[in-house]
Amino acid sequence: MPDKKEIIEFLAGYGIPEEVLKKYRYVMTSNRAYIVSSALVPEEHEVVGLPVCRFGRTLKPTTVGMQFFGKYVTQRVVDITKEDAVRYLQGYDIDVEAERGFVAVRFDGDVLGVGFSDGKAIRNQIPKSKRVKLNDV
Amino acid sequence: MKHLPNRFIDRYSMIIPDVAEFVETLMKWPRKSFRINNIKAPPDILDRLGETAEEKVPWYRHGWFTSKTRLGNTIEHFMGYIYIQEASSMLPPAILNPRPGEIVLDMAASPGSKTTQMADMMGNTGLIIANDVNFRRNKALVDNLERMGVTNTAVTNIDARFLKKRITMSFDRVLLDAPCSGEGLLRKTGLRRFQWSLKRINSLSRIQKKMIVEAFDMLKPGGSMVYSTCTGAPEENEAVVAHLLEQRDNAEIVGADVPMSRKGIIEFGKMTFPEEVKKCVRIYPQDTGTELFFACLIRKK
Repeated sequence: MPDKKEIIEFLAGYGIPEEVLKKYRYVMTSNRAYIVSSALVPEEHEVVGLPVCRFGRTLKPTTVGMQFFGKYVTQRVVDITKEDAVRYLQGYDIDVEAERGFVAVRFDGDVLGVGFSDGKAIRNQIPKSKRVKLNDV
Repeated sequence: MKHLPNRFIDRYSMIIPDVAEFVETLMKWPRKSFRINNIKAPPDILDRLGETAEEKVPWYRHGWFTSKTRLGNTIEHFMGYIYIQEASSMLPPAILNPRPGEIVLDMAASPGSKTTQMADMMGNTGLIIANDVNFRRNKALVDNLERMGVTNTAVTNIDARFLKKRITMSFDRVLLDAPCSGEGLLRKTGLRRFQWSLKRINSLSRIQKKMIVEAFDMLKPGGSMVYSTCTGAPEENEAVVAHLLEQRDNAEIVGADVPMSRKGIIEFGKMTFPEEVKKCVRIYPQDTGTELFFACLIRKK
C-alpha cells in the first residue's frame, strides 16, 4: 500500500503543487487513497473524503480527483477538440497522441478526467455510471 | 383516473383558505431548478450558463430556476459545477446556515443534495457526518459527494434513532430532513402510485418524534438544528416540533425570515400546539411554484 508521500509525489507529477496536495489528510483503504479536509474523522464510517488515486499494480488518478485538482494540472495533460470531448464523455476511446501512461484529458479548460495513453490513442477511463451524452450535439 | 382522496383535501381545507389552488398546483410539475456548486464551479460559471440561470431561488443565493431541460446532459453537470435540486429542498440548509469549520450532522442524508449544499456553504471545511440507514441509497450519496468534489464529509450507515449511541460527538448544527409521507412530492410520485393514509402518517409521526429528540440531544449547547419534511401533515410537522418542546425545556424555536412562506399552524382538528410553533415555515406550491415543504429552526439554549 502506498503512503501519503508516494501519493503526493504521484499527483505532483501532473503539475499539481505539493503545497496544495499537502493541505489534506490522506486516508487509505485497500485500494484507494482519499483526501480529507477535516482534522476529525469519525471512527465508524463507510467512506470519508474524496478518492484521488486507485492503486493495485500501479497508481492511477481517479476521474473525480483529476477534476478536483484540474485547475492546477500543467503536466501530463492533453487538450482535445469538442468533437473528441463529446465522444470521450460517452465512453469512447479517442485517437489523440499523448505521452504514454495515465494522462489528464482536458477540453476548453475543463479537465474531464483521466485517460490511458499508448502514445497514439487514449483509452477511456471514465466510469460507466458517469458517462453522458451531451445536449445539442 | 385516480383522484386525490377526499380526506386529503378536507384536511388541507382546515389549514389553508386557498385549497383549490393548492390542489391544482400540486398536480402540475414544479419549476425546474439547480444550484451552483462553488466548490468546483469556475468564476465565470454564470457567463457559461447564460440564459439557463433565469431567476434566483428566493431563499438561497446560489440557487436558480430554469426552463432548460436535460441539464443532466451538460458539461457543467458532468463536472460538478451545478447540482440539479428542487428549490424547496435548498431551504433547510439555507436556514441552518452551517459555517466554515463547524461540525455538522446530516441525519438522513441520501442522496446528498442537502449534504453537498452544506459542504459548499462550509467552504469544504469542518466536518459533515452524512448518515443514512438505507445502504442502497448511500451509493447515490457517495456518487454525488464525489461529483461535487466534497472533501469534508464522512458517510455513515446507522439507524438515525440510535446515532447518539454510535457516534460520540456533539455537533454545532444538525439537519434532520425526516422520512415522511411525501405529500409534497405528489407530482413526482404521480397519482397512481400515491399511497396516502392516516395510519401511515401517524406511524411516521411516532418515528419522527423519536428522531427529533435524538437529533436535538446531539447538539452542543448553543447549537442549532433544522427539522424539515416534504409533507404538509401537521402530525409530521408541528406535532413533532411540539413534542420536542415538551421533552426538552432547553429547546427554542428560532424564527426564519423566508420569502413567500407561511407560518406554522397552532391548531389542527383536536390538536393544539404552542404559540411558538408559528415560527416554523411552510412553503406552498401555489405561492412559489416549488414543492410543498416544512422547516423549523431550533436552538439549544
